[in-house]
Amino acid sequence: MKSMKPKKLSKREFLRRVLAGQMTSDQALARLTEQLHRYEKQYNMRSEVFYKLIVGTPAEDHPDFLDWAICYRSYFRVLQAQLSAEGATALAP
Amino acid sequence: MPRDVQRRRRIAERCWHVYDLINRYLQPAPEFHEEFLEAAELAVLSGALQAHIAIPPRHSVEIREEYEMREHELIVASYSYVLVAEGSRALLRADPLPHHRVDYRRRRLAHFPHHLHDERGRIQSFSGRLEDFLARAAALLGR
Repeated sequence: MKSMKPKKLSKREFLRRVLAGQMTSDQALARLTEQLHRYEKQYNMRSEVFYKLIVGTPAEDHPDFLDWAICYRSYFRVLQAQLSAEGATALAP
Repeated sequence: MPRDVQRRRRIAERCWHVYDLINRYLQPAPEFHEEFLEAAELAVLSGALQAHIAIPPRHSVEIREEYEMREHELIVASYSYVLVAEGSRALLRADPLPHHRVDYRRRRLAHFPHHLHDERGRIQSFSGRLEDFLARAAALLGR
């Protein structure tokens, strides 16, 4: 039997699915936390320590470290957006 | 248009561009289409794209892009593009970290701070454009 090759999405379909996405900020935080934990375990270093010691130095020029730093900043962006949304909801009349 | 809605839209559009380029230059695994949508959804929420793209039979491409809005434009503020061979060995990688100023022949980088670590680990000039990285990766993979 011939297998069906997945078809490339059109731009319209791609944007529709991404912008209507079902992922919540809690799920996004869970994914980012999982990635951060994986790096913490691999390099035996907490993310806060890594960020303070490595980011901004030549040692940062390593694919894992670039990814780790982006992941760390992403985590705080999602968290900040979530807290802002919660704050706005709490302040709503 | 509210700023956050505009930001989400611009990130989704950039992710579409990345998706289109990958399809144009490489032959990703069948799961790519669904997996990349999830990565794009996360990018819209987190402001950074983190995509792992399997290129059968033995390679993969890691694309990391971190976005910022400046005025009404989306900027790729930071990135890391890596072509990975079997055994997690980086064959080719590019980033904009400002820790190299010259290439391996001691010539100034043409687009500092963008640079590329080639398949022999040497520093080379790089435009900073994802399409240039993918074209080079495709050439290395013989596609």
